[in-house]
Amino acid sequence: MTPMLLKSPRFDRPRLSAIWRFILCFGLGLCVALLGGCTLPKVDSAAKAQEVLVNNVLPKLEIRTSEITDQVASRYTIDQIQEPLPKVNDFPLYGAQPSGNANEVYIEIYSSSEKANADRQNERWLIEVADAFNSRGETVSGKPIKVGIRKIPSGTVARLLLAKSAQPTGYSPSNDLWTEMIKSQGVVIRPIVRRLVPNTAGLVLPGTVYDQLAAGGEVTFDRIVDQVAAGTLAVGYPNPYTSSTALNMLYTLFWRAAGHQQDGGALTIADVNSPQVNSVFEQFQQGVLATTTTTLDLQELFLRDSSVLQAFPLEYQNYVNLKAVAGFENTQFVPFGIIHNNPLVGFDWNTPEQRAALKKFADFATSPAMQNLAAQQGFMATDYLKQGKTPPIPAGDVLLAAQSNWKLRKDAGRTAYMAIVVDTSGSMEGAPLRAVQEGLRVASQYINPGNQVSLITFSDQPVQQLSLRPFDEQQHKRFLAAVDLLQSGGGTALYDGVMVGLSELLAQRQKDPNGNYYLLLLSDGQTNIGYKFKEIKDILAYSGVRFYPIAYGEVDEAEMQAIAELRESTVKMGTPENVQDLFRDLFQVNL
Amino acid sequence: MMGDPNRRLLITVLTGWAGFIALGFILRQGIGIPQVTIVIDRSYCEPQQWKTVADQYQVFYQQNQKRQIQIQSVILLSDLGEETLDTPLDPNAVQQLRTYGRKDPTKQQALQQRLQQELQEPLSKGAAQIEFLSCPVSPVP
Repeated sequence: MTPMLLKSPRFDRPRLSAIWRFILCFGLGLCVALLGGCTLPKVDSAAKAQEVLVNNVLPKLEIRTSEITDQVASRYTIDQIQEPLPKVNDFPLYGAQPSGNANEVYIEIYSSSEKANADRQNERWLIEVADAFNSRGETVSGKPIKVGIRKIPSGTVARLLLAKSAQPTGYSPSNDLWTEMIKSQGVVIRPIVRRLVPNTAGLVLPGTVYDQLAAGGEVTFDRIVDQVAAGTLAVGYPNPYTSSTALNMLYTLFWRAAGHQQDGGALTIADVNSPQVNSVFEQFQQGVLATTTTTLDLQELFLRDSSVLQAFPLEYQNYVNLKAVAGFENTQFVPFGIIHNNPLVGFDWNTPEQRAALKKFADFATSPAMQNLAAQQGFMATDYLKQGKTPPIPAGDVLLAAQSNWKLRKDAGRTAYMAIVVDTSGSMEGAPLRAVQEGLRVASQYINPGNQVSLITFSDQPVQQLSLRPFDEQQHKRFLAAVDLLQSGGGTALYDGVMVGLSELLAQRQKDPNGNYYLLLLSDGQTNIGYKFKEIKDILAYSGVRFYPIAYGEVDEAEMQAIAELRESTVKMGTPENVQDLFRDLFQVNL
Repeated sequence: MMGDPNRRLLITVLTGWAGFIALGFILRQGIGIPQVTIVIDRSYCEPQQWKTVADQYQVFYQQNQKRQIQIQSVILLSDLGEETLDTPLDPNAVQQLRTYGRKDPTKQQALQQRLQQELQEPLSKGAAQIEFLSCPVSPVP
């Protein structure tokens, strides 16, 4: 019986299945061990984010260091960085085109975008006026007048005029602050009409915040500034070097801080430099959530969460149109500062015929029919305008001093730290990388000494090109050298690069918890080496660092957007043509 | 039923306690610790001068701790507005306060008049005080 049992297939099966069971269990155990090793620990706090980054992420990375020596840096000079001016022809021209015909009087007016944006129905008033005027067949000295409207930001025109790089026939900025600035620098202007259309600058607030303030009395600019200074209201505003509304807000803040609301006097340079005014500005800056490069960024942040960003400046004409957008219905507008007159000015290089043509055009633009058209697009005389109690228009050199003061003191005593993480994969070869290099080189002059930047690149692996250090002359030279020596090639270890940049920022924050921490990420592709977004997204989320993603090509837009939304930021679409402007704007407001 | 001696003892004790409590109320009404409203002018002040303000505040704070006075509220006054705190600030917090803006005598005067109106009755009885603390030397504008 026993031999039969031994020969029975049933007796052979148990021994075989035991072996297979062992192999199966061993294999499963091996997989679990590997998976466990590959999966990062859960991150649910800032401290945990740093711990996981340092203990779990960095040890798995192959980080190359390519720090610039002082000897190499000494070959570079920082005082010969020429910033190229924008090309006028890059800005769109509407209405009549120049024909070169000597038998017609062609006038080209450079206009701010809120009245010369052909793509938006409620922002194209001046273009419609020009089209209507051109069809009337108006003449001067027997020659037909033709009007072209070129849409260029007011600040850009000021730059071009000061650099003598452009000579438009006419200029219509949003407000008089720009004309005062160019006047103060020697550009001779000839006023044609004081106001083409009225507009008012103001602060937009959520209805709930406005109602809370209203419970304590009239909601005024002063009260809002007081709340911002007290840390109970978070405000954001765009770059006062480029935004008419932000420049107006800055001027009004300084004017108010100097006490001129009592005497109606003009702000002076001495006021701007006084400790009383500067102390107000620095206290105000404590409550500023973000300074963005454009007003559109602020609108996006406000829509995203108006409990985080609670006030931002806007022109009334934009506000009227914005109220129709979902999410903005229950907002309120609190006016401030000077009226945005949208003046029209000519220049001393105009011929008498051009000057006469500008005058005829201005007369038509200010006719009742054209003013009705303007009102339909939101250009209205608000109650604030009608009251006539506004600050005086300041001198241009005072405004220039105010801008410089803003740049100097915007950090309110805090140090700004930025890790610049740049893609140098194979697809960046040639013009894309050259544009980035040139952009970083030019933008480097907008970094305040004392702030700190690092440079990390990534291709097959992350490379530490430059460590965080105060941006003094030597560090500036190292930066220029590091940028100059960048080379492309390899894959895209995007998030490995981000982790390296982030680790240095978080380590620095242990020493300086009051600093401002940013990471600028530029990539032209999707990650194909190293860590994936889903593996490290919680580290990013809990890091407390603000990320500025620049999508420079075929990126994963959803990932870029998710990174931007972790803090008060938006994704920038970068191209070789605009990347220099993007870097300049980001460095100017953050560093 | 209680005996006469016990009844008299009880009445004596109760009368004594009632009188004691009544005296306490009278003393409290008549000779209570002053309620102090402290106004701190936080217009711009050089750090070394601000220490004087912080030291002055510390004196009041210590008196409050010893129940020699009662700090009813602290009002931070600046050129931009005012902030009323119901809980007295720690002296270190006052030392760390950021000062900003111009001194505005009109605002201070208006606040003083308002407080005098609001606290008219206790002020007249000596039960309230208003103390203004400000930078000892105005910086040159």
